[in-house]
Amino acid sequence: MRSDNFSGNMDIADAVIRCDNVRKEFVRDGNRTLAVDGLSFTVARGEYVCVVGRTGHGKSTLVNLLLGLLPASAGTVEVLGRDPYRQFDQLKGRLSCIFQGDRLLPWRTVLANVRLPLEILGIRERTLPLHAMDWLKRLGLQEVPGAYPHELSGGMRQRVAMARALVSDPEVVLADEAFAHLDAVTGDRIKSDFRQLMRSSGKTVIHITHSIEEATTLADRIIVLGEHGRIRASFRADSVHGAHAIDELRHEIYRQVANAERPALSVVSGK
Amino acid sequence: MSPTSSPEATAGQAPARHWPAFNVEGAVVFAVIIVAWQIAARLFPPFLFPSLGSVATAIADIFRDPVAISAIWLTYVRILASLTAAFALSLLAGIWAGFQVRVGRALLPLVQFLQGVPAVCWIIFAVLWFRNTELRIAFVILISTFPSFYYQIREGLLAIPDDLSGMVRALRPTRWQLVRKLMLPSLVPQLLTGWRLNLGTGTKVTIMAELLGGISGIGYQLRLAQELFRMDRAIAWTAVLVFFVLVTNKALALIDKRLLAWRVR
Repeated sequence: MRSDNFSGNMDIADAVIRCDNVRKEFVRDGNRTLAVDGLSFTVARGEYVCVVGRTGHGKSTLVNLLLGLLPASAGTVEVLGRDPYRQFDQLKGRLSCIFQGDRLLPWRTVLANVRLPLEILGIRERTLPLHAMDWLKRLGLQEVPGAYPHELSGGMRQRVAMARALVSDPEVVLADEAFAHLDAVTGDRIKSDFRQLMRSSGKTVIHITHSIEEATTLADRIIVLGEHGRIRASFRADSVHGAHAIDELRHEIYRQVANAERPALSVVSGK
Repeated sequence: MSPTSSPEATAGQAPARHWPAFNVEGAVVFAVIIVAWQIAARLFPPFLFPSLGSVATAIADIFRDPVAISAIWLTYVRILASLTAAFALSLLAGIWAGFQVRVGRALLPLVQFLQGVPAVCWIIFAVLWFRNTELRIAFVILISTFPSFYYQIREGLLAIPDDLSGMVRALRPTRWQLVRKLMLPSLVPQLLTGWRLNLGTGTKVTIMAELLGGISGIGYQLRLAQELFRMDRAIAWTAVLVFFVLVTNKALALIDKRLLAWRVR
């Protein structure tokens, strides 16, 4: 296990994703709730970063900030050098998300669901290196392009959701608890295929997950969020090999997640 | 062995009976009514219980008479045109309210008020307000069916799951794209229910309006039959109306099958 800072030892200029001292408050009925405060990290091109943390520690808010669905109350959020909230037009098709649950439109066939982002973003399929059908083939869904979501298994539905997220050939993919609802066997196969696809296509991934095991299996780097989205620790996972070292890493991440309510004592930089 | 086929699972339960597609029980009820009617026709004068033969002759007369056929078309066109207008108006209002909470809040009390006024009151208002018969009927159908359509659309929009809405909104659709890609397809089940409910309401209201304030259409023909004590003609016109409702329901069932092929059945 190697120590690491929150920027993954990279030059800030190389960052594909940059959060700098981000704060997000929600105001409801005059009451202010602080969701995220002082969140800073960067992600390099082609990096696969998993974000773990306890419920209520700002993981969903982070996804919404990166997708530009929410503005930051203070600080800077940048994806590919753009503010996703104010400059989403310049990120159209370059940023996509695989959500928790497949979120397939039940009235659309598999192929029509995959094509949905292209229709909304106004991207012509023929200008893309891989068409919707190519993605279905890559994900083993070539036999079911005309099927409706209710006719598919949970695993197949999640593969369709993956194809939908990748069809616009995005540079950055957010995965928000994307495999959480699948059974262990199905989940393992899909995660493995997803990791392979992301690695071979050089995409940058931020993967929000509750599962420490999933994070250590998939990630190059793991960020642990504490209270109000403050980063408690960051671990390099790509250089950890061997069952014992991986167990040790998992144990350390678990300890950081479990102690997340207490103020972070130090930034874990690895061993 | 599947759970349903195990003796434990079926113990104490009657085996599910396979019912034939043809409803024998329903047919028996109709047969009993027909026989009873025919007996009554022998015992009472024709202005109370005309024989089935004279009713059949009256139906045949309707389809031979160009004036009667134009009355049928006139009523059908009135119903369908006014319902289409009410549907379009409520769809626009419902979607507008879906985008603007303030619009929804403004419309809700008005729609509740409209729903509380009986259709016959609207007919009286329409007779007093409008000289033109077509305008009267269109107004009454529109005002009577708007609340039902509006509620269906409102409920349909509220029922769109947040996760689907969030997924589509993450792509930053235009309002028109949001309507076309998410709202309208989500609303299809509610829209079809709205049409089913309002075809019945629209038919009743149109006939009432023609009966009370019209000078044409099936309602007017029913009034003539009543004034002339022609029960056979009144029943014949009623049969024409029932036929219309059956045909439109069948058409809706076909549309339902086509548009909702994606639903688990």
